[in-house]
This record gives sequence, structure tokens and C-alpha cells, in this order.
Amino acid sequence: MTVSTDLQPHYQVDGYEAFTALAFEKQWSDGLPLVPPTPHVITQFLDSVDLAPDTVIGTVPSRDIEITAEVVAANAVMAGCSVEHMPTVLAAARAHLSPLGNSHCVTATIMGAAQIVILNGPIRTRLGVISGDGAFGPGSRANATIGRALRLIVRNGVGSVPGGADRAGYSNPGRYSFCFGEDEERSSWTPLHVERGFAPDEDVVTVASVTDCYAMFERDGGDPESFLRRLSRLARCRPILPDGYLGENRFVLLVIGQHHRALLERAGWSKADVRAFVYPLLAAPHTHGAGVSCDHGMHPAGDSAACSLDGVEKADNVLIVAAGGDEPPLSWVIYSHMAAAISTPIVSRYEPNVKLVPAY
Amino acid sequence: MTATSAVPIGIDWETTLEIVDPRSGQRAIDKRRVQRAEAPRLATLRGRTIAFINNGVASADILQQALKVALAEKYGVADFVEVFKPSRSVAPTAEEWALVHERADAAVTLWGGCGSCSSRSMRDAIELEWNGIPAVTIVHESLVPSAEAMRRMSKMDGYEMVVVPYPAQAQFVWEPELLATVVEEILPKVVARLVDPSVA
Repeated sequence: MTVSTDLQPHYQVDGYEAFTALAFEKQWSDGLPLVPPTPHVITQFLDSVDLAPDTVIGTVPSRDIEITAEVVAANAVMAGCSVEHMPTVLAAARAHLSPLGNSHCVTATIMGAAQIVILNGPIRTRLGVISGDGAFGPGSRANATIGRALRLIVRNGVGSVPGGADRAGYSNPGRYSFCFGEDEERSSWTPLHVERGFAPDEDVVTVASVTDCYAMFERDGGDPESFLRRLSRLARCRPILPDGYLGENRFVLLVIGQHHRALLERAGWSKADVRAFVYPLLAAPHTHGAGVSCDHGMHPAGDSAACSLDGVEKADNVLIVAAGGDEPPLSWVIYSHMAAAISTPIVSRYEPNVKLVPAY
Repeated sequence: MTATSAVPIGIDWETTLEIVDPRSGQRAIDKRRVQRAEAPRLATLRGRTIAFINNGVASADILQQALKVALAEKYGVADFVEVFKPSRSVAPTAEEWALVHERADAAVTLWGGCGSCSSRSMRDAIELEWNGIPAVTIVHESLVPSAEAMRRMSKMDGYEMVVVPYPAQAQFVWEPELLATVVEEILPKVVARLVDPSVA
């Protein structure tokens, strides 16, 4: 397949140093060095998914922007991806740019939302995606570059440059890259993608825009109920922001570590059991005056003792992922920000009508 | 498929490189061929209908209510169309746009109290202008860069906004005394953005 990359402006630079200077001058970089996006490499990336450069991958209507395959490929190259990562980056971009990904909102917010990329299926092994020790990075090329590629697409494709459309007050180190796999091999639990209607052997990406990440250290888990009660109390520290556009698609993500999975799995608890137990605790009315562990400040004024995870409308929106190393005994509560968690298949050849869960 | 192939492919690090710009152009806006210009301003607000496009952020509701009272009492505005968006950073629905286009002579979009809502609120005003309805957006001073970014992306660089300064806070619901002070300060500016100065 012969493809042209004449749609985008081209620059001639004298070597890598000159390219680096150009990239910083043009604000293409997240602050780290980039791999030069040359037409030759971009063409290889596009060929790997059988895409013409002008194929529109997604749009941001509030900004009149169309993100083309060529832009996706150029940013994947710059992030340091190999050509084998391109289908995953493409799927992540499509998920983020789908309507419930709410791209304008989550990339212009003062809250500095990061885009988490969660991978399921055999592709984790093929690409060397880490899901155990060091899952949240750094250390793996696949984790680092796939997550970085999506963030560079947000920056250069969507147009959210810090100081311009990106208004993040503090931003978030997860915005350099935040990609990990679910530890399907070391868990008896149903993987996230299977829970969302995909086949076990399908390769699936889930993209979630998130803000706060709270870790719970729990050495003596005791019984599953007492562990999950404590985890739920932590999760009730703050609400999920109200949003009529998302419908019933606001979510909270629980990443359950190996230590805590062992406690739960030994007792025969499935993800569905965990969800059924914690959801009523998360959604309970504001009656927990005693024992509240923190107050985020996002609860109504004068209601500081009334922590509740308002905003998760149904138990299915408590997403549970198995990841992390054997130690320490940590699990994480990660809060969504104004977007749904979108799952979509990673396919070797581009298909115009792709399955998105949830659909708009 | 393996993860072992090297990148970059075929790059000589010291010779001339051809680089592809990785940014999206604004292809969609060019396709639409919209008239990127402000709508004609009104001769007067008296007897006219003003639309409010409200994103519900922080003091948006109380600011809208106070402006309605002031516009009716001091400038003779006859009627209002009120759109309460379902989310702070999305466009009004097609039905809401249709209602505004059918009934409103001018519009106020608010409130620029956060990052994505201030830029979307600016965009609401710009789209109204493109459809022939004079509009103004109200933004907190801390979010002016956000609104500026949106007007730049919309190719409306000179488009003016009304700015609310500190001590009013972008993310707080203001006390009545502060609200009154804000309205007193910005009301003439809002009106000035909607009315033709050569007539007024």
C-alpha cells in the first residue's frame, strides 16, 4: 500500500538536535524528547492497520477538529511506539474520541484529568505489557509508549496544550503516561473486557479519564467483608461530579492488588460478589458521621461528615481490575472525571464501525 | 506480531530529516465554511428577547437570575429564553439551539468558572454569532486563557468577553452582597457587547 502524508505540513530539519528544537518550539512535546515523525515511519504505522492517512478516527465538535489516522500515527511514532503498538494506540484514540469519552471536557478541565489505558486479552503478552510488579510504570516500553501516545494525541491532535486549552491547575504525573494490563493470568476473576461483553481471547482497550487515585494499605485484611468495608469507606471520601450528559455512565475504578485478591479469592469472592457487596456501601445515603476517614471538600458546604460516593448510578459502574505486584498489600480507588470508561477491541485492520462499550 | 522491531525506522540522526506536523488542522471548520464573523448588534434591548445558555457551574444560576432582573428593569428586556445544559462542557442540544434561534434576539452564555466550561461557553457564544445572534460570554478572570484558546481555535481571535475579576471566586456560589457587586460591574459591559455602540 502506498500512502501519502501530504495532508499535514512538513518541515525539513538538519538532524535530530534540530528536530528536538523544532518540537519544543512548536510545543509538540510533553517535555521529554520525541522520536522524529518522518513520512517513512508514519507510512509503516499506517500500513500496519491498512489505513489511509486522511481517514477520520474521531472528532472534537466543540473545537471543529477532526483527528486523522496520520495524526494518530505521527504521535504514536513521537511517543516511541513500535509499529506493533499502532493498533492499540488507534483503538485507544477511538475510545477517547467517542462521544462518551467527552474529549473537550476532560482535556480542558482545571482538574487535570489523565487518560488511563487498561489492556486486556492476549495482546498484553505479545506486546510485553506489565500488569504485575510496576504495573503503573515506568519500566515497560509498551506501557510507557502506548499511554504516552494517547496523551500526545490529546496534546497535538485534540489541541489541549497546557497554558492554552488545557487548564489543569496542578496537572498530574499520570498524564505523561498511564497504561497497564489486567493481571488475567494471576487472577481467577473474570477480566474487565469479558465483564463488558467481549470474548476472553479478544484484545481490548479500555480508556478512562480520571483524577484522584487513592491507595489503601491493608496488611491484615481479616475477612473479605471487613476489608471491603474499609475500602468502601476510603472510596466515599469524595463524590463523582454530577453530569447529565453521561447518563448512567459515571464510574469508579477499583484496582485490587494481589495481596487483597488472594484474601477475596480464597474466600470464593468473585468480582460480581465484590461489586454486590461494596456498591450499597458506596451509594448509601449521607449517614456516616462517625468513622469518616477524610473529606475531599467536594461535598456540599457544611456537610463535611457526610461523605458518600455520589454519582455512581449502578453497581456495574464499579469497575474492578486485577493488577499490581505481590507486595505491598495495596489496592487503589481511582475516580472518573466527566467521561465514561470506554472499551473497544484492538483490531489488526481498521474497521469503520467498531464496538464501543458503553455505546452513546 | 512481535514487539521487537526498532524505531525509528530508517532515520539517519545527523542528516536532514523530513518531519510531519503531528497536530490536527481544523479541517472540519473549513469543511463547514461558516461565516466566522460577529452578528450585527441590536439597536436596543428594549422589547427584545434575551437567551441565557447556562452550564450550571458554581454561581451560574444566581448570576443569571440577577442579570435577568437587571436587564428587565434597567434596559426594558421583554422576555427571556433559558437553556440549562445537561453538562458543563457540552453544546446545547439541537432542540435547545432551535429554541434559541427561533426566539432570541441576543444571548448571554455563562459561566466561565472552570476550564472546559469556560471554553465551551465561549464556543456557545461564537456559534450564536455565526448564526446571526449577537452574544456575549461571561468568564472569570482566572479562566480568560481558556476562553482565549477557544476563540483562537474557532478563528475568532478578537472576539471580546466580559470578565469577572477577583475577589469573586470562579468555583464558589457568591453571597448576595458579592453577587450584587458583580452584577453592577458587569451589566453595562454585557449590554455594550449586545448593542450597536453607534446607535446606543
